[in-house]
Amino acid sequence: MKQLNRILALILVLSLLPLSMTALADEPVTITIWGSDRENMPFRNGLMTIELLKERLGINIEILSAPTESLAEKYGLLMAGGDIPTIVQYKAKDLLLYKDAWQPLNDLINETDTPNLWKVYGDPEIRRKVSDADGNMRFIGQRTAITAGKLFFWRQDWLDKLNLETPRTVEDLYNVFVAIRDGDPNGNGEKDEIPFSVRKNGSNNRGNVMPFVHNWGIAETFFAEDGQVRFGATDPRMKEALEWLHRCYAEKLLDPEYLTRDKTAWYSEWTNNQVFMSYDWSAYIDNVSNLFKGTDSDVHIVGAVPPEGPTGISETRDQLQPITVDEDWNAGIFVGASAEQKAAALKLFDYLYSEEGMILLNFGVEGEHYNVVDGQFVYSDLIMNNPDGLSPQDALRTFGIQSMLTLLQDARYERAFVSDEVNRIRDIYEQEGHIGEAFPTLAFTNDEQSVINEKYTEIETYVNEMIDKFIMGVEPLEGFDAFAAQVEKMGLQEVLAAYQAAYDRYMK
Amino acid sequence: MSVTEAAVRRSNRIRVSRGRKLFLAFNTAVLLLLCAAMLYPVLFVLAASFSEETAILKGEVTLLPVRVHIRAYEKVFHYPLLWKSYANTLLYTGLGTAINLVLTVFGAWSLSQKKMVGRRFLTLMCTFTMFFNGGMIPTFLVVKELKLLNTLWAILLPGAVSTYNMILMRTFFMAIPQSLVEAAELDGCNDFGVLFRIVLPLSLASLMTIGMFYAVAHWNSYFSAVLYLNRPELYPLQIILRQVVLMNEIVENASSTENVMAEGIKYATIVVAMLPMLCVYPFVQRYFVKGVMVGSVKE
Amino acid sequence: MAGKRGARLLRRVWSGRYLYLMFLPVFVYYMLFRYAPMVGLVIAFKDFNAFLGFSRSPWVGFKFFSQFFRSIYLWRLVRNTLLINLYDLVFNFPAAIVLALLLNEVQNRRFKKTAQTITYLPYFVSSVVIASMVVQFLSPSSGIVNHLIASLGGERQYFLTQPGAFRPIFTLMNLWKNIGWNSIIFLAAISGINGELYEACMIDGGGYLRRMWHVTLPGIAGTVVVLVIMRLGHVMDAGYETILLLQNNANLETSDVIGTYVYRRGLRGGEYSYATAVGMFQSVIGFAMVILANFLSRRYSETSLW
Repeated sequence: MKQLNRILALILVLSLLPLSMTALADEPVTITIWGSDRENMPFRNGLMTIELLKERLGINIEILSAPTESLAEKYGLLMAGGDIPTIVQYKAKDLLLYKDAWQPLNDLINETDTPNLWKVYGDPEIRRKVSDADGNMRFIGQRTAITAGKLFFWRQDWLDKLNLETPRTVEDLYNVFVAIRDGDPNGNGEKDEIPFSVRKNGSNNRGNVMPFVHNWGIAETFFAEDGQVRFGATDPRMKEALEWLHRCYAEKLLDPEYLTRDKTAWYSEWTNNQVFMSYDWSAYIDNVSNLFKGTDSDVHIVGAVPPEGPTGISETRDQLQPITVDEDWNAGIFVGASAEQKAAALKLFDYLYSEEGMILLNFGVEGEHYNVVDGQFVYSDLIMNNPDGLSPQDALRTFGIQSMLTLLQDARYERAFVSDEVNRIRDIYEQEGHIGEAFPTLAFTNDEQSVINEKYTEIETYVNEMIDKFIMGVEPLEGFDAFAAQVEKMGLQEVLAAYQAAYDRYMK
Repeated sequence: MSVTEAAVRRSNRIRVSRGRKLFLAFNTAVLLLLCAAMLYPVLFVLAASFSEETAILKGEVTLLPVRVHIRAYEKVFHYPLLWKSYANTLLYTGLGTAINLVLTVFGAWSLSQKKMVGRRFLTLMCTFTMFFNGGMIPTFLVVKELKLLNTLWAILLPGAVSTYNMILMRTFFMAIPQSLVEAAELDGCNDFGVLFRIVLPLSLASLMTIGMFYAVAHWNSYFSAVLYLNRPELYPLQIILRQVVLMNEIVENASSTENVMAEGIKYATIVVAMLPMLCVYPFVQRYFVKGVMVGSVKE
Repeated sequence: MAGKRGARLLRRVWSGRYLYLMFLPVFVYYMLFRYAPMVGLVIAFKDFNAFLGFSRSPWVGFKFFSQFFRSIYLWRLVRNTLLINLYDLVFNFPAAIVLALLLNEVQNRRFKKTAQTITYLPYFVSSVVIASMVVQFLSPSSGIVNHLIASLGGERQYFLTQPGAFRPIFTLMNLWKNIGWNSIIFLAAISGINGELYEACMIDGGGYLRRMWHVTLPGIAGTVVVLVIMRLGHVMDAGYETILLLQNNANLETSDVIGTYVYRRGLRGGEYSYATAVGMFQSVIGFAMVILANFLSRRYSETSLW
């Protein structure tokens, strides 16, 4: 087999020889970038931004596209193969599963060589979010412009119609749900209102149901309290939160099909005038409002702050971080790449973090995608009233703007798109303390990681299964203590010890 | 005409009992019911693809389209990657099936010939891989080592022979009278001559059937593309279909008009993706029953 | 003596030279794509790290096997995998035989052909499409099944979250997809039965049921046995690609099979060695089943796979 390979390789090399001889002179270095690609956010060769980056930086960029819906599989295969592109963009947690693969960046990011990166990563507060267990920086993150990413929102017109007061606590909210269910605000004479409904989000179907538990002072999985790492799923407060969620589910206040409700079905619940309240990315306030555009209904979608839990906590913990480590944008540089490639990759990143690069990746090309009016960036008609009928965001993404390489987001971009209502509620979340402390993405040592692989993956499956069963009542909540005991038995303490060690390292 | 049919016809002249009539009525009824159950979901998809979005989601569509329109199809036909992936799938199916057939015929014929010493061992060697395999990751590593990633060969070669299909064909070949082979050999044909001049013309049914087996597998396969391809211009149709049918984005902001269309687009894509196969197989169908035989691999 | 025998063997091999030439590409295929990956199974005994490569990854012996045997999911995975296959073997396999028998009794040729065409149809629909149709039809709010239940006065059911419903749903789905296609091989076997046997049976005054029992079924028994043996080799596999599409946290209790587990841990979780060890366990059991089934079959009936 090897012999055959060698012969084949030889033939190939010989046949390419004349070609490479001519190309050898002054060929710019080629780097390959692997990242998530899908129809409404393409990451492919030939995108406008990528062509411009090639031109401006004098490097050759080749994109390896991985379909978003099988990203985890593609990443697993990529890493199993060991043939790694120059740059890989993926979630921090998964990048750090293979620490050896990524070039340590501590010595490479400094004031002289990469001044733009240094402006962000020179800050130790930011730096520790991208550091590995050994203190070395292993990837470049995406710098976000805003914090409030996900929000609650509801139909204010229904509250008004039924003369309901704005609910303050979870119990108030429960009563409002009941009133909505029984009060027939859509006026069709049927009891078909679904007070709270969410869209399936990624692989975790109940993701948008769980933020309620944050108001009990916990998170769904790991969170820190007084410097101590705790596990939310088996916390006694989780039992109380689940009792509330189960009550809502059993009384048909929570969408009974939340496990399989995909986006289109969820939208149709809205258009059928069935849904009162939901939780999602802030842009969905506008998306849902747009569903009713053109109809003469008096639908009024308004953002809402989280309901207070029993101890008065009103916050959500799953918000955007200054560096989004949980999304697919983090970029590691392969340690085995050639010195020229590594240099080119750093040059690229530094450019992406510069003012010029930021403008290209957030706004595009002046006169084409945006114009500057009175010192303000304004998107052109090509974007805002796209001739192909694309939404502004989709239109931008067809050029590669606001896409996989937008590593430095600009607040002006964020504000330019959304309605006043979204900006209003986002400011309230950020300024009035509705954003809870998020648990950092931790970097583990190899020993800690192997404890987590062996114990936590099994615990995770079990917990995922049981939480849904508790909410749906398939498993009665009397079984909660037995559930917690089982998780203990599966080695929770060892896992917590690993997390604690990593957390202490992070906080130091 | 099947053998039973012939026998029954002859017996009909003798007597048609009441029990027999009853049975036939029952038989027809069961088959009609079964056919309805088989057809319904496909007809539903067809109807939904022409129906208005809200009608689909409210469950108004049962068998016939509601508020007919073809906007979903217009949208699908404007999907740039669709045509490219369609062409890719045609290529993978055509070329892939050709490779499959050549290798399978060669393998099946040589293993069916008694004069090949060691064929029993070789047959078992092939059969063994039906039940024992290296698994996904080791196979991936081999394909990677052969430098096939991101080429069309990664799609075509790893599944180039299906052992099951080769055994089916081998059983078929073994039923060909040895005398024909010997006569051809006396006429000076070597084994290739025998295979191409005598055997294959007699094996149309088997070739068509096994070819159809392979073609369906190629048409519906997506997993090898997930495993081995990183270039959208090489994606087969099923990858696009999955994106449309299963997509759950993480961050998004699609326009409202598109959102409202999504369900219809889903069904239109499904129709577009399954239509070619559904159009082809009825023409090949008459060979199916004659083309497959399974038996022991010991001889 | 030995020389003579050797010479004869050589002559026989030489006379089959073109056959070997024909078999050569097939042989290369099997070596490259079937046997070479088996060498890769050593990673089940190593802590595989792609950057160290095969040879430099450290040996860990049976660590990953024992980790799997200690897993609280071991029994559940094995049980679910076996039961899904058992359901298939008990319901879907005979169903295809029954369909073949029924089709065989049809006298109107056009009806027979149409019925065949229609029953083959689902086989040509891809599994993504079928799975999404299942989700659609079973939806409590918009699915046709629940519309039917509601119109009959029943309570709407959320089938896909009921662990008890998963196996029946999955089995029915496969029945729908495969029954027609699987009946082909039995129809072929039936058509190979000697017509004189039927006549003899009829002259003895046998009705169609007796004919079925005494002629048709024995006539296809060989085919059935061989197929069952092959099927038993796959008792530890289950079409995980389709299962993944129907799986959710609430039905994991019955829907999690070895295949989906390997997929989750290996491909999505990056635990290559662990997943390979579990996959190897699966292969070994499957292979043992074939050997056993073949042995029993050879012993108690005349047919066997080899």
